[in-house]
Amino acid sequence: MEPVIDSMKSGSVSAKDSKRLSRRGFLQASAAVAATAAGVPGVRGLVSEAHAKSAAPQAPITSHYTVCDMCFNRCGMIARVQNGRVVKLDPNPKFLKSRGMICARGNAAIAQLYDPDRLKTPLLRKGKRGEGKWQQLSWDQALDHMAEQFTRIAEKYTRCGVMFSPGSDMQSQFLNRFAEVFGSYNVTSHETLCLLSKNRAYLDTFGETPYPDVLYTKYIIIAGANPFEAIITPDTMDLMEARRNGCKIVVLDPRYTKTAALADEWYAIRPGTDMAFFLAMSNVIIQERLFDPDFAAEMLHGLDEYAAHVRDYTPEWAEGECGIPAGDIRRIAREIAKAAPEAMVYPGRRSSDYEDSTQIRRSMAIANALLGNWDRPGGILAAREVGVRSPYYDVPWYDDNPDDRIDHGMAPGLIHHEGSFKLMRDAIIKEEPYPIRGWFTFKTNFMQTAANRRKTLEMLEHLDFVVNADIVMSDTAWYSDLVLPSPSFLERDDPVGALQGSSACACAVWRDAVVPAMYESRPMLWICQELSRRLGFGESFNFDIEQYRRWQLEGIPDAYDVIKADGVYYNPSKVYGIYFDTPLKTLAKKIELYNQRYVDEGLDPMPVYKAPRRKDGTFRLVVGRTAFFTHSNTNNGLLIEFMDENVLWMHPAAASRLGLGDGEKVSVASGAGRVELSLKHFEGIEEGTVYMATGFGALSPGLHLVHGKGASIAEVLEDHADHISGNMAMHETLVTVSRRGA
Amino acid sequence: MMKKYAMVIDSSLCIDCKACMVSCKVQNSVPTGHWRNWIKHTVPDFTQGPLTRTHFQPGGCMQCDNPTCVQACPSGATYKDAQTGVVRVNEGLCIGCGNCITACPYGARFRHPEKRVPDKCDFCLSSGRLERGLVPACVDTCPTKARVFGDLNDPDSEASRLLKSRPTMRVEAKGVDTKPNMYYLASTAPLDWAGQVQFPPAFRSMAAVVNPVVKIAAGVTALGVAVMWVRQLLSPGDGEGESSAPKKE
Amino acid sequence: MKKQKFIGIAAALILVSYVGISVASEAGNPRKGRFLFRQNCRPCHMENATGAKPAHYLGPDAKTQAEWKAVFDNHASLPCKDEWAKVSEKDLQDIFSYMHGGAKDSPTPVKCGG
Repeated sequence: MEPVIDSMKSGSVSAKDSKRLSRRGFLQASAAVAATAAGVPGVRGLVSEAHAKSAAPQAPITSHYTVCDMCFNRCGMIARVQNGRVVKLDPNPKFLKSRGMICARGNAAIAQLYDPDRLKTPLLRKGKRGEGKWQQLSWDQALDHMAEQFTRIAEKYTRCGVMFSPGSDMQSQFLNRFAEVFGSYNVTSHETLCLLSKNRAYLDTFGETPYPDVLYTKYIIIAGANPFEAIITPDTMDLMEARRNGCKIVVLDPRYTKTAALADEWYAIRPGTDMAFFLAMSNVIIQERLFDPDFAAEMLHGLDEYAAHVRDYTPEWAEGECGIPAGDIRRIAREIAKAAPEAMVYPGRRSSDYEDSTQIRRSMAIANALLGNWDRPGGILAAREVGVRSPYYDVPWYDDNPDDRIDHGMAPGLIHHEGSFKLMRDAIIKEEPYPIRGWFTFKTNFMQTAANRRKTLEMLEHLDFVVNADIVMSDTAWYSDLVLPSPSFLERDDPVGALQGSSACACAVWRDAVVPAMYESRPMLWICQELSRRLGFGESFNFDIEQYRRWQLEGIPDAYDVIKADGVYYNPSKVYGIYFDTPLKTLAKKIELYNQRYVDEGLDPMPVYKAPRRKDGTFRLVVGRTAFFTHSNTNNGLLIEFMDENVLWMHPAAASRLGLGDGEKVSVASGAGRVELSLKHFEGIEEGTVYMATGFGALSPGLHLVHGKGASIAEVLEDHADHISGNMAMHETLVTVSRRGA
Repeated sequence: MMKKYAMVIDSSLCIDCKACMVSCKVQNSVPTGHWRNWIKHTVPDFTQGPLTRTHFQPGGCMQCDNPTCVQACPSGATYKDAQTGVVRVNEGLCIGCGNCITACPYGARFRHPEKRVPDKCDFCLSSGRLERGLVPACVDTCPTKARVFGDLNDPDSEASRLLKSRPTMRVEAKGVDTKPNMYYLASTAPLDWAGQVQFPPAFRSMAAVVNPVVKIAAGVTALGVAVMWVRQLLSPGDGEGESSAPKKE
Repeated sequence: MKKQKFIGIAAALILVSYVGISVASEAGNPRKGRFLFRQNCRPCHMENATGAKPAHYLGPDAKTQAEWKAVFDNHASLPCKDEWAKVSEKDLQDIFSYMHGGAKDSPTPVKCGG
């Protein structure tokens, strides 16, 4: 039942598919052959055998399972190694989550491994921050220095005076563990710039974060997502397979993305008005009673309230807000309701868009509820059982610590293990409710990914000690006090990771080093072990990776040997009907169209439309992915060929009103800052919207491909926050665009 | 058993993610600025409103049965491999004249900046992938499995089955029937991008008076070879613009 | 249930996930409650350091908020009532905050071990 897999005629993988010496290569063709060939080439030029003979012995190639780390997806890979070097990365055909593929970024991981810009030794800042004067340290010196700084800050400002930012890495769990054992609650990561609004919305509607069963869906509306470009596995491949099987794709996006380009219908919706569309769609479904009444009676909480709530949100009203004709809204509502329950509003992933993003995503979640697609094929699924455990550890208690995280209470729906980088940064700058003076970041680059770069720089002025572990000198590393070289994913043993792939799989994987760690790079586990020993809690990291994996897999004893053999273990756990005989984990034990907790918090219990602010002469700046870069990871010798500088997309009609020509250098200004880059006329963008890619205009000269190239979107994005989740709201910036120097 | 390798591409599945291009580049050590394969696309017509669409079309050397590059090669370095049907380059025989590059209407060849010989897709033959039981790098990595690789002499290969069961199209060159071995499943676009075949002047002057077989042979006789050697000696360094490989966006 | 997407992968391993919305009105300190639960209840309710699970393995998401309230209201009738008696009222309040705040029907359930 896996149509995609049928077409995967990929290579076999034996543990050693190293092959006999190749006799190919043509540099030493014999003179006789040369004479014949040169003298009498046939019309077809058919020459055989002799041409193919030569002597260029090659070293054997060995194959090693691994899991990609070029983004968060964790796709299965086979690394081919020759003469101690990784020469190629191929997809693991047994890896269902990634459907036996690797994207451009995964293929380019080799350029990350052998990047000439890699950090090679620990570096201590000598000059001013950002000045670029560094002193090489030994690891002992670096760790002693860290321990000294952390102790100093803990004594003076409590242990919560150090903030931790683990990136999306399989070893980040060690830094999370370290933070908690050290005694700090102040942990935040990239997720607070990404998916928290969507997660909040679905938790507050279904009691679960959703996994869309894209493969079996028959009708999909994609708003605020771009799965053909922002590749997510298995959704991206499954969407294409679903499309091949006749699934209708409707895309609402102010940009003509690759997803829009391959959709059945694309509407260049005005940014920030998605909720109007979904309220009107719900209006039609309820008014025309297109929902399943049995499902509604059993599963929906607050349908009557919601029916009354959306009564005035008619398609005609929505047309005025979002620009999509009422007739189309009505038609799409009827079509998708007809396809239901094998139909969905795609939940998306990055939802760090608007101050109202949780409610916008709730309007989408509720539309799914009305389609009755919960826990069913082609619909929105709950997380599956993988069985990977979190090994136990003791946590300390420090009476002098503050009561809670620095951003506690600053947003009503804060997800407490993540918090909000935006709110934390504000609090650190204000030094309220208490000071934070240290920051330990691991493979995150807030300087380039968090809106308002100047504010991140301002925050650093309040921090005494910033340490950054990464593979290259990111902008965040460039402004740190101590920089630690990390190995790439191909150079280290990692703990078990649990992955979800909706109906594709629930699986467990780990990584073994494919090649030894280069330079002085050290994995995060080793850093945590060494540092915790110096800080007096070494027993919390008194294990090796092998022991840790055994603990993780204790609940699924078969998994260990299976991962060793195949690189991945699949748990044949329940996919559909997980909640068949179990109440939902919401307060009402049903799908909450009406959320009582929101009322208690003074929030709207049902999503209320608020028109996005508009200002004459400005454009709304939106962010979005390309298929070949992950966030600010642009400094890759292979991928940079696809885009070596970012440009500003603007509709030609809007550009001509401003008298701005295609290719002209323009200045983009907001309340946060001003950047300069080239303008690109593009009809595939809504007239009031502009767009530029992330990851350019780097401050760090250590990123030689993107340093000073193009513009940094972080410089010009204002920092707004989702009122409920505290997630960064990155589509709330209105910019003016003018000719450079004007 | 002789093989006839071909590629059948369902370009309606292509999402333009560039995975095939990077996979190929790594596998074959293709130098920066050059590509052995590509993804072309139609130009979206935004007057279509919600129905605006782009069609992406992956490609590479078409391994033609009537390879104009082979015809244009004066030294026999470029040849059609009888064992596999793949158009290959014997670098030891190449005199670096560059005729094959302009003779290819698909822009599938470029001059390797260091080796000074033409470089092109060979279905990953010389990388050893096929020998190791692997499909070409671009096929293996493709997220949506748009590219299907196989032996047309094997009626059970997936490529053969697709050719039999589905209507296909090929990208035709202007004025020459190249008989390409890259098939696109029906209704794919763009199909009209292939350029003119440009044979070297020595060929053109004779074309009017001799039959095709003699023409090719003549092209590599003393006159032809001498001309090509001179051209090689005089040819400038990199970036002379003879590579018609697609430009990055 | 694994809230895996929170950190992209392996969020089963996310360890601290308290509740924003519901706990605000609770009196105890859930962070201290997490510490105290491990201090006082671990021998019977959490795995030991080598990973072995006891018979009565449980965590905040083992029960609903209402069920936790019932447990804490009626702890005198539990088999381990003598252990409860050793814990101060203040500490019980903190532990309650932790269990209630991470209950399975809370906005952000906390797995056992989390």
